[in-house]
Amino acid sequence: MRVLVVEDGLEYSELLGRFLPDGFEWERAGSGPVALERLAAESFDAIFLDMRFDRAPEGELLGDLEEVADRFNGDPVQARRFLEDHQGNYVLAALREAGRREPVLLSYDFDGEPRRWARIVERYAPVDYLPDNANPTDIARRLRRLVG
Amino acid sequence: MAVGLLLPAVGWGQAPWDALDPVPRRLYQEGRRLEGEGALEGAALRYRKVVDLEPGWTQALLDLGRVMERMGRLKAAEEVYGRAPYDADAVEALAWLMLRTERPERAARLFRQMRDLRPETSEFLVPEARAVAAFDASGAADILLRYLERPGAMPGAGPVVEAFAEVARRLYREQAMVEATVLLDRLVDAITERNQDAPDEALAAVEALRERFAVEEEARALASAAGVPLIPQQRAELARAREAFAAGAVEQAERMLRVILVANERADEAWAALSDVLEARGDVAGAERAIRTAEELAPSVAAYPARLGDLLAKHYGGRHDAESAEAYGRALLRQGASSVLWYRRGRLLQRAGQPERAIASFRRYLALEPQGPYAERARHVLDGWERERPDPPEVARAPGRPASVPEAAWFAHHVAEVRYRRADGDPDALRGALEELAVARELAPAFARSVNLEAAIRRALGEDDAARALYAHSLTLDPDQPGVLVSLASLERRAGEVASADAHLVHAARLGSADALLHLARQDVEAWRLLAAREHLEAYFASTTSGVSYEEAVTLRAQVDRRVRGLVVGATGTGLLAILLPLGARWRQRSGAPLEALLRASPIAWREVARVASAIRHEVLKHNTTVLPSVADALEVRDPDPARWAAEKLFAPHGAVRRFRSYIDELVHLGQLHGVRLNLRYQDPVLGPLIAAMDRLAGLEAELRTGGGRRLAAELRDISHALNETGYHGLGQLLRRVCLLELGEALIRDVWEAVRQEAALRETAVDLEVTLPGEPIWLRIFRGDLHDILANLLRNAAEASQESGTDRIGVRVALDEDAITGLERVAIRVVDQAPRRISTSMIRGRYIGRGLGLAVDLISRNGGSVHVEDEVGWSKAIVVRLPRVEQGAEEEEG
Repeated sequence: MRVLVVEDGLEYSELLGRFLPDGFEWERAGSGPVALERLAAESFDAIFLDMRFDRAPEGELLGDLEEVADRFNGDPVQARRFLEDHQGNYVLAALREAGRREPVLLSYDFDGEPRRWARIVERYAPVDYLPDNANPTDIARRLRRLVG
Repeated sequence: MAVGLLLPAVGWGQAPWDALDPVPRRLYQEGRRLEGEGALEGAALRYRKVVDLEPGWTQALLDLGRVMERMGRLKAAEEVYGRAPYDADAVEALAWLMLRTERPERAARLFRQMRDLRPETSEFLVPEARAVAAFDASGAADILLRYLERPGAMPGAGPVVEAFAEVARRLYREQAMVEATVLLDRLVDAITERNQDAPDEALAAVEALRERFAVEEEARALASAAGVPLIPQQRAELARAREAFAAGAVEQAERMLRVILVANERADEAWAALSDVLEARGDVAGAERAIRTAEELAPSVAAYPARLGDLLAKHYGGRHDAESAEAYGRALLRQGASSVLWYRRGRLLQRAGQPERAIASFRRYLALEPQGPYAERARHVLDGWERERPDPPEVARAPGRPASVPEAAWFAHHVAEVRYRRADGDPDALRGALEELAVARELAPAFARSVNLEAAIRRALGEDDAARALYAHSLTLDPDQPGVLVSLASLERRAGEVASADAHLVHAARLGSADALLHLARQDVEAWRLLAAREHLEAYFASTTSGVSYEEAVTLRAQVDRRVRGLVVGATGTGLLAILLPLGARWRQRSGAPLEALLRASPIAWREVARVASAIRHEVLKHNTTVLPSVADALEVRDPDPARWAAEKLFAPHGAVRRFRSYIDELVHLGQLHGVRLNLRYQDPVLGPLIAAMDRLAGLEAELRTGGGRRLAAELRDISHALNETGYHGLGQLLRRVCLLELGEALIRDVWEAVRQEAALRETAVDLEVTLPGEPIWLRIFRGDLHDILANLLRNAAEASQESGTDRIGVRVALDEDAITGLERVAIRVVDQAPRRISTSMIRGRYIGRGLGLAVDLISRNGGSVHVEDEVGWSKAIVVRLPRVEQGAEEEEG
């Protein structure tokens, strides 16, 4: 299975490459725009998408900073943090908007937010999530289930 | 510096480290000596040991950070300074480090924090502006302009001048010519006003910049000019059109101008004249379009943007003030000596909620024309701004009169209370108070506060039995009154009824009464129940950080410590040691409080606790300990490589184990700052098992590095479960359950009732309608914050309604959904029918009333926003949006 790991660091790529070398081919994109470029040029079976991108350069964050700042009384610092903290959502929305239908596994704990998760599934399926305490075996199992 | 928290006070002639115990003191002095000799590694080693031995003494942290910086180990220095997030010196050091290492956003946040940590000085505004300039030049300019208004500002100082020049350059690069010019003008004016000498070189650089901006701007205007001059016949026709217009023949004037424009569509003068005509005909949009065309064709003519500014200011009732001020700014770039334009710009910026820029404009006006026609008004406005207006204290509003207590009884009670306070033990005066109180008691016999007051007066008169009976009666009206329980216990003890007294004290202690806890501790000490005394004192310190008995509590704690130490030292016999050592161990386990105690004592600590708990989940568990099951799988098939790899990640200098321990230290330090001694290892149900599991993991380092076997695999699975399952979910629950508040009709009505008790609204006929969605709404916000936000908005709406003679306001709660993140926001719409105009920028500009300014701050602090919007059936809605929390939802992101 060929999986595009979208994260601003190297942690998942390194970890998954080390612990799940068999049956998977892991590729990495460091930001939403790079992910979109790679998906336009190559074929992947699934996408593993981190949620928080607090190390991505400002220019590589998806989302309208000005529009988001308005939700925080015009405070660009809070807005930037919001975009970083929810960047996975923005990447997912951009993928679907670009017509990408690959299954997406989000790394985020939606266990306490069932309504929010239901809205995301309704708009962006096929999509699933795993909380941050998932180990590599959990991730492999969930990806296989998601790809079918 | 936190020395005072942990160590005895330092006297005159003593160095701060004199207060340390001998071992850390020697290490610290060695560290200083080695640092002085340039032996930085050795110095760092000693400072680090001092930090380990005296974690609350931040001087050693600062020294360690400085040495790390000198050694070029900037990451380590950052980590060191970051361990004291509330220490002003450490925050300052970290802020400068961030600025030097080009991490401006963090530097800006830290310098912003310095405003709160060192409110007495404005010196950090300048570096804050330099940091902010990297990502928000306009915001940086505001900060610098604010700096100039502070009493201690030194506009002529070299670093200040450099900061102004740097920010001006950035503004200029971002095409914000007006702001750049205003910034430099204001600096030069301020230097003159304060009669300060600036370094020649720095000032020359500023002058050169001003000159360069002016020249380039003019060149740009010339280069982009596209107007075509009128030929003589067209000019004559333009003169006739103007005459017709002056004579009131507006339509004729328009026809003539349009003829000219057909012949010469690039005639800027004709477009400008047409603008006047269209305005007179009521076509404001057409007038605006015409004058903008004129400006486009002849950008170097100051009159056109000035005219545009007039037009926008005049016709849109404040809605386009910022744009209008911008147009004046463009005019001033070409004609900076036009004092009246500076004044007008100031007025508009004032209305638009941009105080720093407005002040700069007024000051420029006064510099150009100190005796001008608007000078007095400009000075008046500036005087109003210069006055230091402290924020209202952020304390809960005093409870108002209960509905069951008649007004007359309420007032009589307070008269009696005042008489009691003034009596100063005089029996006649006390009896006078009783007479007043009799009125209240008769009108409201079940009002417990009056019963308590009578009890206190009887007690002061020496009528202990009557006082006891009254206190007992008060407890039948309301059994959970800690103060009454303590008073009754005191009287009972005096009467020899020890058991009943103790029961009342324990009850009061359970209700969180610091007095009761101290009473119990005192009794424990008298009876040599040292562990119990210690526990009561820990609970006391968890419940209060001040009070008349605080010093006594501190002394009592020292007394307990001395007695226990005395016991240990005196215990020479093996048998006694055998008793005391387990006792000591048990004491260590039992003393101190869990994290919940900190959150109870200081709810304000919640955000910091949440940040650390979130960091443990995301920086320690995620990507690190989550690999343990996979490592165990590999070990079972005799593959040692993953174990070695994991050991590197876990036990490196900045690895997961050390980071975890530094987070635990951070929580303990946070507790100290809030006066709560935490014992997370033994007392905390979530962090205790996590710490134990992490200790077990640390104990396996050597085995992991060598590969280990099946037993190690089994142990890793066990530890993984404690960390990644129990610990992870425990932290999640901790984050979920604190600070949740349900927004319901009862809460809104309570706030409204409190607002209606205020003098200005006591007689109001304004009625409140409340509409809520049919599902529970949960927010993560302090009750006091939400109360203040709602109270301020309701008060404003009610007062505006009262002034305009309308009698309805409303609160309509709805939900907004973010399509991208799926998150919901709760929209609290406070609606009224008052015709008073108001805009979002006015509200955010915060000059329409201090109360609303406070509300806007609180909204921002809670991640929300405020807007003015239309609402069908009402004149407007002030809409506060706050993040909705799903009940049981996570606070953090992953």
